[in-house]
Amino acid sequence: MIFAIPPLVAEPIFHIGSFPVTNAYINSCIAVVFFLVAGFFLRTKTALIPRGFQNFAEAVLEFLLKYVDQVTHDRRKSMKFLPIVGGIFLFILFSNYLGLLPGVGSIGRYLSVHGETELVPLFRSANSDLNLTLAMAVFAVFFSHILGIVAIGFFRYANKFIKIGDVVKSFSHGGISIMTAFIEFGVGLLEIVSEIAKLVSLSFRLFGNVFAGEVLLTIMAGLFAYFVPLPFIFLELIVGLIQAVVFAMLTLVYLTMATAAVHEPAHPASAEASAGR
Amino acid sequence: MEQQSLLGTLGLDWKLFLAQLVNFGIVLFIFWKWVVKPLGATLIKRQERIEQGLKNADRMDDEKKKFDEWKQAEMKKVRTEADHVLRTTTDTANQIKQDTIVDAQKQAAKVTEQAKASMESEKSQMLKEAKQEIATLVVAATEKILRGKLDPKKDQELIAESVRNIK
Repeated sequence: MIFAIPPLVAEPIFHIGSFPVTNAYINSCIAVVFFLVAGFFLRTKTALIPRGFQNFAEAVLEFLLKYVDQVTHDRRKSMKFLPIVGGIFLFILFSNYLGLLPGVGSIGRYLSVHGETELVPLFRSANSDLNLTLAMAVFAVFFSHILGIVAIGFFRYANKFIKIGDVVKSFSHGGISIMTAFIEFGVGLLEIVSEIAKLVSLSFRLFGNVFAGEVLLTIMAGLFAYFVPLPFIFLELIVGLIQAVVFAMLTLVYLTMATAAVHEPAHPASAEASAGR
Repeated sequence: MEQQSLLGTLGLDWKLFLAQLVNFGIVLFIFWKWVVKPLGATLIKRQERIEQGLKNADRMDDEKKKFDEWKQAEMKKVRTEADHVLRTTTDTANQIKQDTIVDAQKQAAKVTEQAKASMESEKSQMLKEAKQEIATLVVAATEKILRGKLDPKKDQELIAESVRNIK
């Protein structure tokens, strides 16, 4: 069966020891090799008057930097976040477009799957494997927390989620502020849930979009091999770009939010005093 | 157990997860170490160079403007000075000319005066001498004519009287 709809799970092509080398993992490794080669060439290209590859890379970098600036409003922060955000963007974009190349999903080995002999593709879009998208999401969210702790200190950062400090402080003010503090405490707990939601939404959004694209293209090619899949390939080109932008932008927003200074709730007493002035 | 099977259905496998995480980490590391770091530094360096260049150009323009203004002012000053010097020189020359003329006229007048004076004195001297001469001659002639008729005493008186009259 040639036009098998790709399964939800990336299929192992071979095993190294007990480690299953899946087709999505092969694609991810190809992307790594690409970035290694590109990085190797760019490593020493720091001429003040750029030409060729350096010029192109600088153009890409400045393009990304412009977008990062729009979120951070701070060039120094942008330069700090660019390696993470830009790396995520370029890696996802390259992986998505690599998955659209002819041969990906069609060249394969006949392996026995569930007792049947099937053509298992050698290559599969790297982001149609939840392992990779989840790994990136975990990295992005985890790194945002690390940067947040570095930027504003562990206890102040922890107080964003477990607001015990605010509750204790509120007792000294008394009255309504105690109730506010308890509500804030609940909001803080919800923040923890939202952090987990971030992981799920980031990873499943990318995985779902890319995997759905794979399925869509396979079905369209199965319906009629010529011309019909063309608009859908264009669609997937756009989707591949948009998903890379969305993942990178969300990561950037998380990083920016995590490193932003904590907004201290105004003390009721001092607020009254300042109002009376 | 149901959770386990759900994750299994989605293809989550901790080994693959780690392997993908490592792959992603490698990409980020390369991008950071070999691309953003050197190229970012280059971008900043270039920006600094361009800013420096523009600033220098501005400064040069400023300096040129200042120099031009200074030059204009200096030229004006020099021209005024030259005018002044020229005017002073002309004035002085005229003054000297005037003075010289006045001097010369004075000198000439003085010389004429002196010449007149000396001529006058010479003339009076000559007249005096001539009178003396004439008197002597008259006396001599008279003496010769009257030698015989007059005694020496009368003669002496006559001479004295003649001389007195001449004077």
